Amino acid sequence: MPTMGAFQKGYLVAVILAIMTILEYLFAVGVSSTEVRFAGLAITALAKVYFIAYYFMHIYRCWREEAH
Amino acid sequence: MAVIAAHGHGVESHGASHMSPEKRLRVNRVGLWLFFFSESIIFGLLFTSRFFLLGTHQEHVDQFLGLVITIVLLASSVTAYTAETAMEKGNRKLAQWALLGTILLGVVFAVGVGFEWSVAEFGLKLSEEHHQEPQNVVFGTVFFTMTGLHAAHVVSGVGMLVLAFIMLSRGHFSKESHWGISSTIMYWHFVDVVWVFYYPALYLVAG
Repeated sequence: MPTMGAFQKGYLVAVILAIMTILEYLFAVGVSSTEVRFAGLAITALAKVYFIAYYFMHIYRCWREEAH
Repeated sequence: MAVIAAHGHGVESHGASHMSPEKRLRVNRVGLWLFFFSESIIFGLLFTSRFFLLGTHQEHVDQFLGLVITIVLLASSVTAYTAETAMEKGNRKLAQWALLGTILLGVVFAVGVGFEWSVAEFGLKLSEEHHQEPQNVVFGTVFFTMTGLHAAHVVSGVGMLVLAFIMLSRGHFSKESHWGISSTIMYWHFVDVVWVFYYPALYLVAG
């Protein structure tokens, strides 16, 4: 998302997170296998954390020299 | 809090006076991430104890309420992001409104957790009146400890957001120097990250 403005980028990430949260809920109530459900929820959680840590918490700024 | 106050006034400690502002900011960021790492150990231990004690067993919880408070917390992350981005662009008015929105959504989340506690069908001790079984109490202990510790962080986060809002309203912070707001918002996102793991572990894992 290099060409997008900061606001647009954040809102796009928020929409992705909202869709993932709804899908996570539907997946959990719709899948009967405990193992499959556990694996699906774990993968979704890790993906959501990536989006939040990178786009909202700007973790890359720890090793990149720049002002705010 | 001291970090917010120091940066709000543009004060630097004597030990860091030789650092450039960019380097100082980077050191602050790494320090905050180390703090998040130490917090993650506490939250992670509770998370693993939930599965160690109960496997994927889960008592009845209000799924709709769980989904609603999760969406509220996600929405608060969006307003928090808006506040930080607005500060980076020098739009103080938008930053103030977005901070206020984050505070209100944080309060709604905390009230939602409190309501969930009041209607929970499990407890912290065995009660013959309610026909509770030991596993019910174990889940109650895990549920109240995990959501309680998380809610405590939400409440402290709201407190820091209120402080940042007041300072911003009084003219502190600028487009160039607003680490106090950035760090508070990063903390808020961290609280969101914790819930990303806690929500499925407490509400969804048993289907």
